[in-house]
Amino acid sequence: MNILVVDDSKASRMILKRALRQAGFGVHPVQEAGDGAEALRVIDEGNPGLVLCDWNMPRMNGMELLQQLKIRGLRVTLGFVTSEGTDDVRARAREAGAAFFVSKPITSEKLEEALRPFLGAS
Amino acid sequence: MTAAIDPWFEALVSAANELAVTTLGLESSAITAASRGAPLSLTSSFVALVGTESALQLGFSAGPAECSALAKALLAIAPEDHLSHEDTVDALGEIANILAGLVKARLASTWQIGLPMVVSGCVEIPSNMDTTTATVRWGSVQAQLLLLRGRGKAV
Repeated sequence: MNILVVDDSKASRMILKRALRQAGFGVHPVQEAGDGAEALRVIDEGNPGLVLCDWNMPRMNGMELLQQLKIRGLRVTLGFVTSEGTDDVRARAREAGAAFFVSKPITSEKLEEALRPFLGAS
Repeated sequence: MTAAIDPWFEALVSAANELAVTTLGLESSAITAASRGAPLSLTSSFVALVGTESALQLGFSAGPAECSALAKALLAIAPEDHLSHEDTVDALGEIANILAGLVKARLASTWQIGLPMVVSGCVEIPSNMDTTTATVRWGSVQAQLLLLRGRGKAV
């Protein structure tokens, strides 16, 4: 399954890709986008099966991306990987239709647990 | 340590300790000195935490070699490997972002986290803001923790 990592921080994308490999999901091709708008283009072009998305981003943030996916009828599984890891934010993400939520700091253990339902056992 | 009575600063110090030993993979974290209103210089990485009635900026400041070491620690890059200035700045912003998330989880669950801002040189603090700083040793790397907020605002 193609995975799209969406984060305005290149460092964060690197950490996330490394954690994916460490969690045993290294066989899945990973694409990157720097914000929601770029992610929409990538999704339009390639339709990744799973999107791991930051919450705070310039231009188009994660919640706006999630709304755009709904508006456009794009059926993509999207979850958040963010430093905004409080119960309030988790609840908002869940209500908006996010499939999973991983709070930073990212660890391979957190990712493995969150993504296992979508990618299978690592 | 005078600043330790400030719950925001306590949360920042606690978050910095967690950041060091988890995200940065360093063996230890310790505050070695605290002060109030110290001048900011070198390179500083801030993130805003914004509530409904008040806001603050938090982050850290360090010299060039220390910034490089912290960025490489975040990315798990060997100290001798090259990291571009752009990638170093990006990593410093991400460290402040994670720090803000850890503070938010401790004390400000309904506040919003802003986008990171990394600046070089002396930062002039507006006269209506309080600055609390502390020298922190993350592993072998020395940095300053920073907390800026408007005077008179309640937690």
